[in-house]
Amino acid sequence: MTVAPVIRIVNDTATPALREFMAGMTPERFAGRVGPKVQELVEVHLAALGPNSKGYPSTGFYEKFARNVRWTPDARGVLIGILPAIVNGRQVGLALRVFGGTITAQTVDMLAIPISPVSYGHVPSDFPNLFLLKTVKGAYLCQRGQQVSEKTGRMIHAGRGQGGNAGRRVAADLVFLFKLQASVTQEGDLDVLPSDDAILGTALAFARPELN
Amino acid sequence: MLLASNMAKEIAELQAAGKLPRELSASQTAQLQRALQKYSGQVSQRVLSNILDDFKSKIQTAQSMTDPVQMRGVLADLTLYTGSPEVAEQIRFALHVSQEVASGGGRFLNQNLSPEALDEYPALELKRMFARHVPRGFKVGPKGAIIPVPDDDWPSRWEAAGGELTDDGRMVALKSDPIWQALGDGDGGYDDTLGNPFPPFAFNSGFMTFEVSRKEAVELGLLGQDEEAKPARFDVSKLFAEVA
Repeated sequence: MTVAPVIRIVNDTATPALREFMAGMTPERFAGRVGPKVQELVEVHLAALGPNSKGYPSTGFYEKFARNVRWTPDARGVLIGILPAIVNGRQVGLALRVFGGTITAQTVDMLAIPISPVSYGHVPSDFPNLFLLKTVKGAYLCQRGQQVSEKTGRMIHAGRGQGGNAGRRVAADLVFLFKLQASVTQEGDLDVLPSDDAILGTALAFARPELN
Repeated sequence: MLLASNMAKEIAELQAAGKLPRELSASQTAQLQRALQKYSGQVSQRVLSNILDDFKSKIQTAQSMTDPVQMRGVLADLTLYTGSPEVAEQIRFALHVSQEVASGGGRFLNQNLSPEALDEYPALELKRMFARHVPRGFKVGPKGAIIPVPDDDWPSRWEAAGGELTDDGRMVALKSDPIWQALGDGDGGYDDTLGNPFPPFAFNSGFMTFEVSRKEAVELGLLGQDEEAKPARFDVSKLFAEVA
């Protein structure tokens, strides 16, 4: 035999508090209370993302987007938007990083993909005297390299004694800066944004601080 | 200008959607767009003027020379202008800063134009959001060592601009406090500031403003319990400082 517990509320203080809370919580009030703090969560998350996966010098890619996070009131609550940013003179959005996708050349024949720490964050027009080099592995934009002796300060011929293609490349004084491709496919990374749980947790924490 | 038209498009889209910022009238929006265009135009003009002045100066130097060896050095400098990474970097930097300032302007409007958000968060705290290899208040010394530069960090600037640090050293003030403009103006004798009442207050700054709740503002003595929160005083048409 089981006994069902019976709870009798003698003095209900929660209902009036909830009613008062609901009465004061207009859509505008909700957005004004929650929006700024969720915006802050996204900003700080983007700001904390580390440098690029290849370890190249940072271009501040995510910082540009962190500065462009905005909250706006929405019929269903609050909307957090990340406005496009100017990267290398072009307007780009963050969605590709988050959801992935394929970029194809639109206004030019080929995309120039940086393949060196020197060219990372740059476009070909940033480098004078680039020339096209076609190999069996593809087409590249290269620059003639130079190496200065630390001892004498004179130009020296680099790559001697180094074997294989790498040695030949260095000996030819070539710096491979960009690879030309018709398209490039990027994997998505949902971790670029805070998790849904983190967003919801922040929203709840600030929507009803007096009820916590 | 690319920058101005982008921002104008953003504002127009948000306005059309009845969203951000709903208190901004059509004429204020137009004023803001004009201010942005003027600002980004000024940045571009300033970059071009600097490059042109430098170019002219080197030409004049070369013209006044009689020693061919010296002249060769100056001519070598002039070749920098025919596709130099340094010049490209200079232009890139100026446009990068103007983009950051334009973004900061949008964020500033967002912080001040919603009555509900203003009531909920009447104050702001200045603190670091973006990491920097050499933070303001430090410099690179011999052998790459990072050494402090006295009175150049943000807490020093805050106090020089008339602000008071909280007991635990935080920089918090009401949104309506004139300290935000003073920080941007470089009050205290700082010449690397950008003239805006919002971050970035100075070149390459990683500090941003964070919203501070009414409860905390009251606890810090910035506001009375039932005191009305006021927005920053600003003229939309003069939101961005003129480029010196």
